[in-house]
Amino acid sequence: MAQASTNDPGKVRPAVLSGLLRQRWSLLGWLAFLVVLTVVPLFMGESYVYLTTNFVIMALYAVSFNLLLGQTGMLSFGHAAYFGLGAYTVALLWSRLSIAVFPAILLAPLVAGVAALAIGLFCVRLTGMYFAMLTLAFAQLIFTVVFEWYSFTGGDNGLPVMPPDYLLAARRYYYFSLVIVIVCTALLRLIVSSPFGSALAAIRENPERAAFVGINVRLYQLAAFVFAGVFSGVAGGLMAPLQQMAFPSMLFWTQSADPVLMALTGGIHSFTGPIVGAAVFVFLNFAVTTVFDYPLFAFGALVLIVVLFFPGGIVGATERLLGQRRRGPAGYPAEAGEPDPEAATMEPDRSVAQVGSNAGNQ
Amino acid sequence: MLTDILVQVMSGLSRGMVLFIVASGLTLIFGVLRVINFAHGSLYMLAAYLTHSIAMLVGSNDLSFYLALLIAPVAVALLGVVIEVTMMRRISHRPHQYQLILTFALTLLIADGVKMVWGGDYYTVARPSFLEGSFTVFGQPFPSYYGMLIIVGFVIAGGLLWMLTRTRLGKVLDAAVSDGEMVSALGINVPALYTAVFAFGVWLAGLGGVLAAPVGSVSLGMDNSIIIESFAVVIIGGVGNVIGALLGAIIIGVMQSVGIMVAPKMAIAFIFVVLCAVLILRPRGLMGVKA
Repeated sequence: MAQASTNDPGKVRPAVLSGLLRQRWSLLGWLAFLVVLTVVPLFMGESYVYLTTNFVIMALYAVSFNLLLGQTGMLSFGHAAYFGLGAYTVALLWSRLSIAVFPAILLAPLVAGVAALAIGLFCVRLTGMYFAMLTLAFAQLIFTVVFEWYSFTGGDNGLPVMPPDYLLAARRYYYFSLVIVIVCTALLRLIVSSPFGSALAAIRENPERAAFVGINVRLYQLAAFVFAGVFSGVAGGLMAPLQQMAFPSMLFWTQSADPVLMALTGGIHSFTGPIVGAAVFVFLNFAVTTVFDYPLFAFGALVLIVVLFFPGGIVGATERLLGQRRRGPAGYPAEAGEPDPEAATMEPDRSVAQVGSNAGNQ
Repeated sequence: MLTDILVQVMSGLSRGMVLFIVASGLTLIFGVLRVINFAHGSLYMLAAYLTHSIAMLVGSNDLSFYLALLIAPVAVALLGVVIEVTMMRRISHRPHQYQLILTFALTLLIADGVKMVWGGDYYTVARPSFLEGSFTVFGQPFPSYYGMLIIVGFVIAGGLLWMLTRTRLGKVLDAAVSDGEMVSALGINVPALYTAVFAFGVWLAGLGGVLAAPVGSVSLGMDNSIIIESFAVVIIGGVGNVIGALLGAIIIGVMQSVGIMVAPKMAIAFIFVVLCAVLILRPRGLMGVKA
C-alpha cells in the first residue's frame, strides 16, 4: 500500500491526510468515551455504578491479556494467576498487616509481575498449545495452594478486604478505579505503539524472521508476559476491594478463560477490541441474568457466533462494515489478513492444503 | 501399612482408568486433528447424565446400565459429528486459538444446557448387580466395580494400541498426521477421516462418562474437573500417544489416591507439580518424540 502511494505523488497527500484525520477521529473517539465514562456514572444508581466499575476493571484485564494474544501471538491460558495474585496481595495486606487498599494496590502489580517473571521464564521456552498448557498448569498450581492454605489465605471462604472510608461509596470507588485503569490503559497503549510493541508484532507474524533481524524472541516474549501480568495484577488488585473479598475462584482456570473470551469477542486485532469485549461480557451478563437463569448459555452462543462468523470480533466486523481496512500504527495486522469468510463458505470441504498446514502447526 | 498402600494404589488405578478412557479420546483428537477439545469434558458429563436418564426411564438396574453403555456414548459421538462437521471444519484453517475458544464456548453451552434439562441436583446411578459387592485383595475388601474398571481400562488400551499399530486404519491415520496432502492424493477422504476420529474420540469420552456415573455422583461441575485432569494426562503422556496417556492416567490416578493418604490437602496440587515438571523437563511428554 505504502509503495503504491509513493509511486504516485498525487495520492500521497490524501493518504497522509486521511491518516491524520483517522488519528484525530480515533483521539476524538477516545475522548468521547472518557467523557461518557466520567459523566454518566454521576446519574446512575449505585448498582449500575458497581457494574460499570466491574466493566472498567475487566477492560484493563482484557487489554493487558491482549498484549500477549493479539500483539505477540501467545495464547496464555493461565492469566487468572496474575489477576488473582493481585487480588490476594491487596486482601492479604489488608487482612494480615492492616495496610489500607490505597498503598496496597501499588504492590499488587509488583507481586503479579514477579510471579509472571518466574513462571514466564519456563513458559516462553514452549510454543503453541504447549505454552497454553504450561501457563494453565502453573495457574492451577497457584489456585490449589491458595485454595488449600486455609490458615493464610482463608481457603474457599475467601479473604475479606474493605476499602477505606473515603473509597467506600460505590461512586468514589468507581472514580478511583477509573483513574487507575485509564493510566494503565494509556501505558499499555504506549507499549503497543512503541518500537518494543512493533518487535512483539514482528514476533507474532514470524518468530524466525524476527530472530533473524536481531530480536531476542524469548526475551521479548518474556517481557510481554511480565507486562501482561503486571497490569492484570492491577486489575485483580482493584477487583478484590470492589467485591470486598478475594476468592480462590479469581485464580481458577475459568477466570483465565474470561480475558480470552473478552478479547476474541471484541476483536484481538485492535487495541479497542478487548474493551468492547469486556463491555459485552459484563453488561450482557448482567442483562441476561436479570431475565434468564442461564447466562453461560447466552454468552456461549454469542462467542460461538463470533468465532464462527466474525473472526475479527465485534470491532473487526464493524470496521469491515465501514470499509476501513486499516493497518494502524499499533502494528496490528489488517483485517484483510484474516481469511475471507465468504471464501470459507464457498469451500465447505477441508482442502488438502489446509490439512497439510494444519497437521504441521502445533 | 503396606497392604493399605497397595489397596490405595489399586483404587488409584481404577480411578486412573476412567481418566485414561476419557484422555485417550482427547489425545487421539489432539494427535490427529491438532484440536484442543475443551468440550471433551462436557460430553463426558452429558453421557453421565444420559446414563442417569436411561436408568430413570428403564428402571431396571442391570438392563439400564447396559443400555446406557450402548446408547450414551453413541449419542454424544453423534453430537461430536455435528460439532466437527458444522463448526470445527469451518475454522480449521485459522490459528488454533479459535478452535480452542470454539470448544470452550461449547462447554458453556453444554454446562447451562445440562442445567436446563436436568437441574442442579446430584444424581446417583446404581451399579449393575453383579458388580455391587467387593472382593478381597491383600486381605482387604475392594469394590468389584473398581476391579471391572481396571480390566476395562487395560482392554481399551490394548484395543487402541492394536488399532493404531496393527491395522490399516492405524497406518492411514499415521500417514494423515505426517502428510495429509499425500494421503488425500492416494484417494483417501481425509475430511471424513477427521470426522471419524473426532467422533471416536468423543465416543471414548462418553464411555468414560457412563463408567464414571456409578462411581461418585452425577453432578454439574463434572466437566471442569475431568477436562483439566485429562489435559494433564495428555500432556504428561505426550500428545497423540496412547501408551503415554495410559501412563499419565495411572500416574495421576495413583498419585491422587496415595496423595490423599499422605497429604490430603495437597493431593490436587501434585498433579500440577508433575505437569509443570514434565513440561519443563520433557515438553513433548514422557512418551513423546521430538517433532
